[in-house]
Amino acid sequence: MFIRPLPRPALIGLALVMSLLPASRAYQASAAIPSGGTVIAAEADTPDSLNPYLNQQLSTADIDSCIFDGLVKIDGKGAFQPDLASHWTVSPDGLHWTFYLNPKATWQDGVPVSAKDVVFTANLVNNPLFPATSSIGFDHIKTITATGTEQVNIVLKQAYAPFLQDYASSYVLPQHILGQIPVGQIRTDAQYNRRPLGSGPFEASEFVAGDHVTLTANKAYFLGTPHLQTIIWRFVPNGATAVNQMLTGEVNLAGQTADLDARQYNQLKHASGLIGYDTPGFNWQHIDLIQTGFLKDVKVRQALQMPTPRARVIKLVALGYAVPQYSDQSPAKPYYNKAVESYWPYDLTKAAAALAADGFTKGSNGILQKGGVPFNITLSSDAAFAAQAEINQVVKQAWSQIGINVTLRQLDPATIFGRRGPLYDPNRFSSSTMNGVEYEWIEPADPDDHFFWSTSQIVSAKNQAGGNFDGYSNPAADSLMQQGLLTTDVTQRKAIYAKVEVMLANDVPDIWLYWGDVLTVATSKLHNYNPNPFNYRTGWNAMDWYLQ
Amino acid sequence: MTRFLAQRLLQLLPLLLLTTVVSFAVMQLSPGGPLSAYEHSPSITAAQLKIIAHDLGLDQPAPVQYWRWLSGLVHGQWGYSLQSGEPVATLILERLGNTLELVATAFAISLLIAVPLGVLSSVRQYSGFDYMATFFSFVAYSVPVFWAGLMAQLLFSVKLGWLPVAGLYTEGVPWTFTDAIKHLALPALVLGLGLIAGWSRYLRSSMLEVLQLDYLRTARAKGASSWAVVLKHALRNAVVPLVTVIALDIPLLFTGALVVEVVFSWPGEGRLFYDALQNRDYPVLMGVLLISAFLILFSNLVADMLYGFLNPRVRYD
Repeated sequence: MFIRPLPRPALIGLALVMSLLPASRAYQASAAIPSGGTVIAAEADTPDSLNPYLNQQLSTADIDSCIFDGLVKIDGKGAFQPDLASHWTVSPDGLHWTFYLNPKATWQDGVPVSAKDVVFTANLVNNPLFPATSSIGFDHIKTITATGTEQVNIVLKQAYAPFLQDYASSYVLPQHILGQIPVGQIRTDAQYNRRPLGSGPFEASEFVAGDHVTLTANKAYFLGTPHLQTIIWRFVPNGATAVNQMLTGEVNLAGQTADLDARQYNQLKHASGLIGYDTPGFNWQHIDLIQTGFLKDVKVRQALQMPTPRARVIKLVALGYAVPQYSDQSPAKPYYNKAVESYWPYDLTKAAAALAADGFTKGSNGILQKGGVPFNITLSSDAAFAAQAEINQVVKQAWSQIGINVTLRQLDPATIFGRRGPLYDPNRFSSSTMNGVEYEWIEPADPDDHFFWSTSQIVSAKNQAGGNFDGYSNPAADSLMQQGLLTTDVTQRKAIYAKVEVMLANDVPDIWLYWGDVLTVATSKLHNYNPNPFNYRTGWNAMDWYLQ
Repeated sequence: MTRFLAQRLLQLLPLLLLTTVVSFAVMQLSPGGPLSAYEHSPSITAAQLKIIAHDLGLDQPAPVQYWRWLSGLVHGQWGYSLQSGEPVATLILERLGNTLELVATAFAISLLIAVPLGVLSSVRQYSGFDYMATFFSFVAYSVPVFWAGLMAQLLFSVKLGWLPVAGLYTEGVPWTFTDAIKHLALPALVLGLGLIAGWSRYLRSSMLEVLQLDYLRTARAKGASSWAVVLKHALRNAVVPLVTVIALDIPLLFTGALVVEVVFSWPGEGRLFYDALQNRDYPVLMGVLLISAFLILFSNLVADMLYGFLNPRVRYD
């Protein structure tokens, strides 16, 4: 199944149009769609908590997508749809947002969802006593108030284009439950965190630690009764075991978070009774080049992009389930700038010539050197993902042909993303060892990318929360990305991010590899299952699923 | 013997304390940390990271963190998970039963297979059966547990359809004893594989030594049947060293269960340790390591005590 995104209308225009429309979704079960049945889905990691603001595990995100609602939801085409909010408005300056709640929305215990729940959630996440693990979007709120029971008024500190994505699609928590618990004790309240009360189409009915979570249909769901009776999320830490369970039918859905690799996908999609879903994704495999030694020189980074065989990596590692990457916006998004495809095409000869022009010569051992310093680089990858090590092996083989000496290293994820690891080491920019780290990001639907490239997001001892591990700094790009955050007009944003893409394609802060497809497998009896790159949570439309 | 026992029990405490100090130090020195999962997330701000670090006590120096943990332990508090916020004791206890079930079953299966295998191999030394048993033992001892587990799943679950692939029981249907046993069979068998190989070899070797002794010739001369000589007279003596080996191997069952629990999605202590290790959940790791250390020390003590009990020539003062 192949999902193509449609062009997105201007956000302001959309907001105005949506504010005039009634809730447009109708999910009533018709006589043609059977109800009942159980989907059993495999999850690679084991959630410790189902509270969406107390951990960031992908398994929790999947499960919570069935239990909770946000004010809005991102659909399969990247458009914002009503969820708890039936419509909303935004002022022309992008500062004043008003959300109008659906009067039919209720919590799973029957209590109506009200504006005070929305206000409570925002105040909780912003409370310094509450250790929220996800607060993006909330930190832009200046004031949030309720008018009556169905209107929420938000004033932002400054205009913020990704506000709907970052804040409004975040889940709303029940004030009548969590408001009774002291803020400092919510984190340890196992009763709520294991079986949270939400407003969504499925209720958490069972939590067996380390084994599975059972969700049962919320027959009083305000947007219509789900077709399925039950969804069971099984925690299967080993990918090969998940494959075996799909083959025997013990599990009938392996979504994105089951961590199937391309070979496992190929095995399962041909199995009897199973269907494979190959969806263009926003997952980008790349190599971070930590800017120290020769890697500070943009000409060296450009020269490293040229011998990198993207097509070979896609063929050998991704087995063709990917498209080449040239910059940081996915071709599946409307912000993609095709012009970046002309930058640094694969060419070993040109790469060698570029390095020679930059003063590199080959030593007696065949390794390039400059000023007596050999070109040695260590490429690290996450030991949990064999594909990433394979990518590094292909890259090593290619780079070796032009005289670069590559050492490969596999590290566990907590080391790669840890304080003394290659990405976070505060001394990495003065290190004599040159490092590259291969890993995968999943980028959101919004084109905002300042987290990865802005100078203010360079990770240091003082700022551990950024995503700019390379040390990339381009004031012109910083300015453009800031404009992109403040501008809500889609046409203007397209122009802004097109320029940023060109800058990144030219400067090569990362070695661009590929955009991997999202590979998932489900029983052929499951209908309306719709892997959505704009909304990576597996259960984003679980209320539409049915078995037949 | 009483004095010996008292001495060993007294030695237990400082050894456990030293284990906790070394474990904590190694955790602190290893790269990464509990905040690794959050630091590289675009959803979290620097201010939020500081709040989380403070809430979890991670902004304190390592010795202070250790002292807080130790003080809590002395008062019966095993600390709280950095990931879920739940009491470590609760997390351990709710999974302990699953591991005990797995380990006890593996132990029983291993014993039931290893003893007859070892005895028969020794009695029929250099026969076809003996060579087959020897070959099986070396293969079983050599194959990695995770590989054996996946192969067992392929054969018994995917190809033959006799047993389920993984998990505790079939969800969504009423629990039955048969279903639970079916889910337990493969992981217990795989976990016991290495022990069957080792114990059967050890018993074979021990039996071969005992079968050469003069008192057995006397028993045969007095008219005892072959099997009575083997089972009633020889095995009794041959099994003495095996008992101590088994006692020393019991902790291996718990530590070896980690890989089996991951492969078979079995929610036991091994899985808990594995998940905590991924997330650098120090309090949970310390709790599980403490239990493992206690098991190892205690089983060593039991092994020594058993040996002295079974072999009257050994005396502890």
